[in-house]
Amino acid sequence: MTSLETVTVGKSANVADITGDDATSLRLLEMGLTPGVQVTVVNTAPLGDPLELELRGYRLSIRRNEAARVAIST
Amino acid sequence: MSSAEAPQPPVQRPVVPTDGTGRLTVALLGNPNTGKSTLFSAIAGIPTRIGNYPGVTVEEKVGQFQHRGRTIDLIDLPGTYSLTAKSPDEQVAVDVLRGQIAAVARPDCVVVVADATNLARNLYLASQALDVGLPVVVALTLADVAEKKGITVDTAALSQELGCPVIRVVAPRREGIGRLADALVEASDWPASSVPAALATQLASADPGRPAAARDAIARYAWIDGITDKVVVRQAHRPRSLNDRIDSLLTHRLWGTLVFAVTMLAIFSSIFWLAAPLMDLISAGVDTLAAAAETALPEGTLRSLVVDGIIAGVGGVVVFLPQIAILFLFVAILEGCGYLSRAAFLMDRLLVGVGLSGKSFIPLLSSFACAIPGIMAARTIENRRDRLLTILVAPLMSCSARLPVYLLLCGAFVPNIAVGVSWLRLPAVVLFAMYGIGVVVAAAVAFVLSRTVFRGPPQPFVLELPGWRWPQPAVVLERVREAAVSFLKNAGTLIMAVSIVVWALGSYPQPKLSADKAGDAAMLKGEALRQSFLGRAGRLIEPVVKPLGWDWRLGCAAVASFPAREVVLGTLGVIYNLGDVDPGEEEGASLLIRRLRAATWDGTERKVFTLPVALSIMVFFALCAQCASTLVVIGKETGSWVWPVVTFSYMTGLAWLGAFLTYQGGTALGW
Repeated sequence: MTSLETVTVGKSANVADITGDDATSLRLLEMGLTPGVQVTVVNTAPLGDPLELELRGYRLSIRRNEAARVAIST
Repeated sequence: MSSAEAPQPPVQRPVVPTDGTGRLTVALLGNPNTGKSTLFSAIAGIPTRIGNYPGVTVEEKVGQFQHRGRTIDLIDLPGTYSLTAKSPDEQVAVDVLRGQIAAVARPDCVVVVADATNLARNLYLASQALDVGLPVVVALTLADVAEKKGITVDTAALSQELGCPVIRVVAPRREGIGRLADALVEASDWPASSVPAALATQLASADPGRPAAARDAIARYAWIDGITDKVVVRQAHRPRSLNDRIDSLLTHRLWGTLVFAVTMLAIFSSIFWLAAPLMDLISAGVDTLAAAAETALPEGTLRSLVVDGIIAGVGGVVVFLPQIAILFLFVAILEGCGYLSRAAFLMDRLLVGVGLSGKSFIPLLSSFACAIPGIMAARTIENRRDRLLTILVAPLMSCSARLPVYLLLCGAFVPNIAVGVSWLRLPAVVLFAMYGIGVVVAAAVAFVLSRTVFRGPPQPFVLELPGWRWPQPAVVLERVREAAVSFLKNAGTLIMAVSIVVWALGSYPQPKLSADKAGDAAMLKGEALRQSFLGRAGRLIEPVVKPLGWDWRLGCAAVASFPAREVVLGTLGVIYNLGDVDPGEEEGASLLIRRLRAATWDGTERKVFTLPVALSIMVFFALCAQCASTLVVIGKETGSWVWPVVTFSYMTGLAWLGAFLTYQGGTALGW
């Protein structure tokens, strides 16, 4: 499974699915990371974590281990 | 409600025929960062009630306004992204909307605040609100900011899709406020809004293979995707606005980080340097008051109680008001311009390493000035565990009340020699080390606690990074006012009580002086203190403080300063027979220093204050929880007396240990 974590800064990807059934996964879905949506990795924090994403017209920050749950379609 | 449960069916409210008069209750619901506070201010002005919802540490904010002859209570629900109740904030929002909190009337209608700059995500909450069994009105905020970004929302089309009124508002300019007020008064008489057909279809046809909440979320966004094309128009090309430029600067890898560092430095310094003249002003005021009381009241118990107890105690705390105000001013400004989240984003990695998260950064930074606003600022951390952990280690950040102690002891007992380079002096290094010790110990405590007592499943960091916007003065000033009032209330009540108790313990039993001991006023005062409960307590704990290198008088001063560490220098002055020495005065300080330097152990020639002793005192003060106000605030913010007790215990334990190691180690090393 290719995850959002592997996407380099400046590139975009389409979300395929969110893995996991816990509060974190639900939160990712509720913030708009749903299957089919386009996400761009805009930036990372100085130490490489967390990531800054752009989706649905706004900016969202998630940690790398959270981005690992976001499966992207290649 | 667990995350896997399906949203409950709407609780139907009875349609009570009204005669168009009577009191209304309206709930304001919306995502964070949507200008909800500004809207609240524009509609209802200053809140009439701020407190906590019963049984939880979720802030309740209610305002009141008049419209069309009706009195309307406006409940500002906590900002939330969803109603599927994964956090206390969300649970409270749901409970209020369903009328399940006994003390709060079920709203007659709910106003959903939707941010025009990112409508899609905001519609998620709106879609859930349509399902809650109340009439809904949507207030479209930040429309002006959206238009600057080239985004236009067709309110008529949106209203059609949602099946409820949509009112475009620009709260800072009060555009649309009147129409919104009209709409919510009208809506309160309507039956509940219902889920739009298109959404219902999506929800019904959702993939059953997933947990209910996840499947609903996907279905809702599918519906949202369907309508945003019809409702939102994006300009393809538009000139870069000022907001865009500021955004680019703040998010730039290099410049953004630089701006961040400078901003944090500015906040930190201003809390010290900017506040200083204001604090001096208040201090002078307190002194004047004390002098006035001294002359106005006849000598005796009452005068002592008022001057030495109440004015000294309360005055000593009120002097911190400027720092609280300045700190909250900065935090409110950062929050208003959307920068607070960005600070959390930048610092997250560092803080995760010690078991906290990025959102703890500002509360902990604030605690360097005073732990009280820092702990209050921890409300922005929605994660219960992180918030509690932050609150527990916040007092370890060396607050400004410790500074006089550090400065005095460093100046008196640390040799002024150069370390390495000629401009770097040992006293400055030691001062910095004291701050460092607090930070290092806090990191260690957080690390250990997060892996033991507070071990738990990983909490989502998922954090919105709002774009730059200009903070609203009304909202900012309101935050400062709230913080200041709350602080003063606390000072006027608990601190006054504690000061009186400490005064009593230090004044009774009254001294029995033998004839040959009659001497000057200063010595009499010292003798009185020694024979009081406080003095006896000092003697009692002498075996405990001896391993730290302290004599009973230092133990006494430490005990006396437990409620408020500011009193320690004054207490030392009294114990060492100086009467009321104000360590702030030049003369007083050097007199105190001379006295301390000359102090010897009872009945010997051996000096009390050696370098290891001075260091052990400083370390003790760095790590000890000597602030009743802080403990009270911890109790209030956590909703339980357990945590203040835990804080006090662990910090006192660490303080003793630290002081012990410092003294023994320092003596062994021959310092």
